[in-house]
Amino acid sequence: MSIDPAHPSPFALSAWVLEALSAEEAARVRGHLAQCERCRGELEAMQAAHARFRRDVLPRTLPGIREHLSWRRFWPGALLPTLALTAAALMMITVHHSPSPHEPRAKGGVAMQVFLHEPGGARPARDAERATAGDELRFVVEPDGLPYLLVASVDGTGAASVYFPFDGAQSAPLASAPRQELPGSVVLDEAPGPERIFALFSRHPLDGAAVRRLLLAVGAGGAEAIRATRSLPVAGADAQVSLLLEKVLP
Amino acid sequence: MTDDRLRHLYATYGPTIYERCRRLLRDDSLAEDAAQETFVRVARHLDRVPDAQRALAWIFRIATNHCLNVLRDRQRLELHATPERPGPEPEARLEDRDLLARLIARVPPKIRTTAWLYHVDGLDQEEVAKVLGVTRRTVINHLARFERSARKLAEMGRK
Repeated sequence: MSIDPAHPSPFALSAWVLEALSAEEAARVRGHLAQCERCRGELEAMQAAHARFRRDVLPRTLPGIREHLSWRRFWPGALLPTLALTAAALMMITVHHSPSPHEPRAKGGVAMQVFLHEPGGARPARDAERATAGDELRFVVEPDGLPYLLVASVDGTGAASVYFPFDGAQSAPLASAPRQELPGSVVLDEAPGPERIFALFSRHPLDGAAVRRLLLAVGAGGAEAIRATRSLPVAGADAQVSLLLEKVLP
Repeated sequence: MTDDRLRHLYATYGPTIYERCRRLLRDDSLAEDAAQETFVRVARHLDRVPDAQRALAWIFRIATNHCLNVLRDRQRLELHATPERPGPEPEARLEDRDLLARLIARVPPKIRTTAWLYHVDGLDQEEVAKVLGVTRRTVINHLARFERSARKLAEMGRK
């Protein structure tokens, strides 16, 4: 980061407050602040806003943040004013996948439908589609009689996430409906590149840690491995589908 | 993410996010909503990245994009596009502030964010590149497109 000796930008000042500058950069900012009344005023205003946040905003909003980041409840639209679900835009495209090659089933296929919510509406995601960091995802599944589900992903940084049940240790039971929307939603993070989402259906709960290990192994192979790996060798998974998203930054 | 971890991240980065949103929106209530929205979008990423400078770049990008969309939706974008500070490289900034405000409201989102960070917030090109996660060349190209739009708009105004 270049720190202009004349006037550090808001970005540089924020970095200085967060102690995110190198020792040399921090010393330059400190030296400038000692001489510039205007920038000291800027810093004081910034710190006053920080104090207000800690005193008033954080205690009031933390419960809502915690709830939004969990799968237990669907988050009401009031907290996400820019995301609007438009009924006309709801198209159902199904990604069907053959039963898991590792645990063949006699019945037909399971299905997973992924909806991408953007400012202005929702649209269905197709395999290998581009999605933007910050997009909100919702899932509709057809379990075809299988009572348990684990939804998990691996992204371009090699990180594994369990989306349903959120950060869960094992698969969660599903309702008995043939077609159902999973509660809650997922917001795509900033890690660019591929993210593959797996929906693992089973007769008994799957171990979340075991699934994470498999996902990490896929992620260790890099972006091409994530794109190429369409199913996971999960012991106990009776059927699975996967969807690939190619994330870009906003 | 554990509750303790979430609280720690919110307490660490929440103030910066909130202050950023408040600076852009100039409304405490809107800033609170925008700060929560931004934090929810970056939380999982913040959990995985130990580098505070990188985290700050993402925060700035998401918060700026979100707040500019809020301003656009509320048709308040032109009122707030008045630079508050000279920042570095002042000689390269657009001098016509009215033109700047009208332009920022009219250009595509990516160009708008680049132009805002550079001309309104006063970040230098390197900082803009860091925040947006692009090369400095891309920033220069975006600014060039913005300045071409400025010239066209200025010509239309003279006719």
